[in-house]
Amino acid sequence: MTSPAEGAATSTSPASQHLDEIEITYDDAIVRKFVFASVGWGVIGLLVGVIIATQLAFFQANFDTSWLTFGRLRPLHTNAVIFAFVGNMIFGSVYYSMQRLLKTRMASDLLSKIHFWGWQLIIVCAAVTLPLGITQSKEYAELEWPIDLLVTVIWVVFAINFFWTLIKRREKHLYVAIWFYISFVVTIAVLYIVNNLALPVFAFKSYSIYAGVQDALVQWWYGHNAVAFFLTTPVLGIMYYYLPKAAERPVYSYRLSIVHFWSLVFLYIWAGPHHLLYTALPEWAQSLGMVFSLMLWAPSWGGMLNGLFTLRGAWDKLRTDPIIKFLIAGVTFYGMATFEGPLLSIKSVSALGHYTDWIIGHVHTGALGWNGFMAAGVFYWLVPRLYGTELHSKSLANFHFWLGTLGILLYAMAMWIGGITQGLMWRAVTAEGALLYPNFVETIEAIRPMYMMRIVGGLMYFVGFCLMAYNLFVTAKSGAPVDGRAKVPAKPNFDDGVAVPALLTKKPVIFSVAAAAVGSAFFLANLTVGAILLVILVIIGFVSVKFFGKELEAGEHHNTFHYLLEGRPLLFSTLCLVAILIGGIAEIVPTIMVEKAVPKTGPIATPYQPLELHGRDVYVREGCYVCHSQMIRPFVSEKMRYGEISTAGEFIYDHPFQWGSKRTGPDLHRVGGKYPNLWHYNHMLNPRSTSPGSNMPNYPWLAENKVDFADTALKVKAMKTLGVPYTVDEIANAAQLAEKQAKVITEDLKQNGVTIEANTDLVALIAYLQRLGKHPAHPSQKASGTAAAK
Amino acid sequence: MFKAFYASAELLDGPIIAMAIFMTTFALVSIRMWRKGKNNPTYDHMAMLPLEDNASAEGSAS
Repeated sequence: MTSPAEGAATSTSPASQHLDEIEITYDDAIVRKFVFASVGWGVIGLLVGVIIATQLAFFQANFDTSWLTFGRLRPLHTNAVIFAFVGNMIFGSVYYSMQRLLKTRMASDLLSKIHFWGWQLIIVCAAVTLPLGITQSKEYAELEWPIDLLVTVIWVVFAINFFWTLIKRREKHLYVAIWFYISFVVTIAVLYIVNNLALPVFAFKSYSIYAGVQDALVQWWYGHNAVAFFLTTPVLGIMYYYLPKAAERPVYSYRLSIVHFWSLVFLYIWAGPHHLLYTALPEWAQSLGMVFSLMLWAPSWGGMLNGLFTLRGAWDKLRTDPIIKFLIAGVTFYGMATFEGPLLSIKSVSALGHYTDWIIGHVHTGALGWNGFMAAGVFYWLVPRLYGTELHSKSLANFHFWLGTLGILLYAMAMWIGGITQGLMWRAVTAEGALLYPNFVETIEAIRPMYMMRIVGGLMYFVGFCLMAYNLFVTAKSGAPVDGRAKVPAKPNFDDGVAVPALLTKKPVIFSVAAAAVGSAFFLANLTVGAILLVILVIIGFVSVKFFGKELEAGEHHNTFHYLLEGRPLLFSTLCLVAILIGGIAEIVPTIMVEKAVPKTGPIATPYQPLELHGRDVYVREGCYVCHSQMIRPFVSEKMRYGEISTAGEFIYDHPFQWGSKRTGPDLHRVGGKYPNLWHYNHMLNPRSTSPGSNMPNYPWLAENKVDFADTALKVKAMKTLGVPYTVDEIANAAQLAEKQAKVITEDLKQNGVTIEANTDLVALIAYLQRLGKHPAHPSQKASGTAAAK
Repeated sequence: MFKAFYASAELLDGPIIAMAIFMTTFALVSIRMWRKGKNNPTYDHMAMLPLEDNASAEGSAS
């Protein structure tokens, strides 16, 4: 590698060989907008995080107010941090870097502006609807269908501007950062659309087209890859641009970046099922999720090492430069999180860690350490340049770094200790074989000190972030907006004399296709033939390493496959799309299309009664899934604590699924019939009256809010459209059936001294909770005389 | 075989084998690149792209 100074002076870019140059001005106004939007939303997202952390330690912080309750604010926190804070940071960083890497202004200022204001509108819509309980209840995909449509439109606007800029670029070669941006733009589009397919019922209410196991798999295929392709790949691209800029030296190994990029984008998409280990998800999907997660460790650490080693020869900067501190610490946290992720994906580790706060600690190592610190490093580097001035205070930035680091460590340690403690308590048994801690609240009280420690850690991080906001604001005020300018080739010549067909017959392509063909044949063949093909596959692998390596070593630029590929954005994007589609198709399509792929094991569900459907919507609206699972895993301790193990057939009419991902409270899948109606009534109004020590909020508004039975038929009809076998009579008499069931519950409550109107949310919710885990005969079954509901 | 794979849990060695092949290949390619990549100018131009505008960038008040 040449030194930075040499590189700038003696660049041999084909584009730079042209004498005719023009001066262009970059659109940095859009970068400034996104940067300060990110900082502003970051303050709000983190503040909400501190509030909900406080609510978990002190239930009083829910203030008995519907829109301030944990179940509604938690989705607001995750959406604000992921899509508002990190999203705006990514867009700002992408707009700044891609213009300079491609030596061109963004293709359309108008599209950039529509993208910016459209994205902020989406965030405002989320900030309004989520506290109101308008949600699809799919984690990180809670936004209802009208907002989903808006997201799709704005994403298309962004994608058009992005690819249009790629087309009008003046630098032939796409730098590694651009590859990661391409994977981000393409994959998020695929994930978002597939996961959010839903049938609208009203203006802000829809039901997922998938149910039960299928819905769970699609959701976590999306959920995991939202982390992968929203929080990871674009931020890796940002690392590949801003770390060399800050360190003033090129990336350590460009060739390693090729290997780790393609491995990462291909493998990541398969790993989603690791969120569903030991659930009713088919075993094959769980195993794929686990092993692909383990494979991910290699390319993830390839990226981390490439980032860290970029600082080679300049480690002294780590002592003095806060930007380098943030970027290097961010990359280090990335390494920690991507080591912990595969570890947690091992089934036996997941058995202990899943549903506990260990997962929360893992997520925040990535979000606060990787995303938050990378954002801080980029902002401290970017803002002075965007305003033609120096950073207001380096010492304040250094203080932010140490405060933030200490905050993350306190947070992560609290969650590790709390999570493992609770996981061990859930499974602990006495010498006689009974549960050692049969009362779930005992396990909550044991980790309450850790919840308080989490508040301290989160608060420290939040204060540090506010200091950054102040520092950046004062920096901007001390300068004036500056748009970057550069002299670029007027008419660059991109012709390298190699046609696409010729490129597609290069050795790496041939070997890849051959390996894929043999691999597919292995999959289709029987075991004996499969073993022979496996040997052939291994041989192809070793031979390709040898030849692929030689191909990469060729001295002439035009001989190298990837060098040629980097000059063809369309082909590059297509291959990227193919890489991510393979995993998606292999996991999602069989789950939806092949009946045998999701065996309906266990008892078969029967459709919910109309009132239960209303109650389920209340459960979704209040975000109960945020703290309660509905999935009893095949462990003796879980069977003793919650009841019979959950099976796939029980969820076939759950649009959307409500398995949850965290147990701040106990699992609810077999809660139906476990307690009388009066217990649920008291518990919802004051959980401490039935479960002393509980940290669950009070829900007084449920006894006041009215269910509109006029909507009942619409909801039942929508479910029928999705394949739930409601009868014609049920749809026609849905409201009457709901009222009838409600009256049975209110009569029962009346006999126990409680008077409540039949058309309240609380009665509907009690109906739903009493139904959980039960499968009474349904009219459609009686009519057909079958035991199965379908 | 694919029907059996999706219908039951009897072929779970497949993903494990895939992991072993991948890890081996990834390690071999990485080691090879690590060892051979030091004096190879092929990708130097691309690696320098983020640093190219350091010298030429100028600013204008907007």
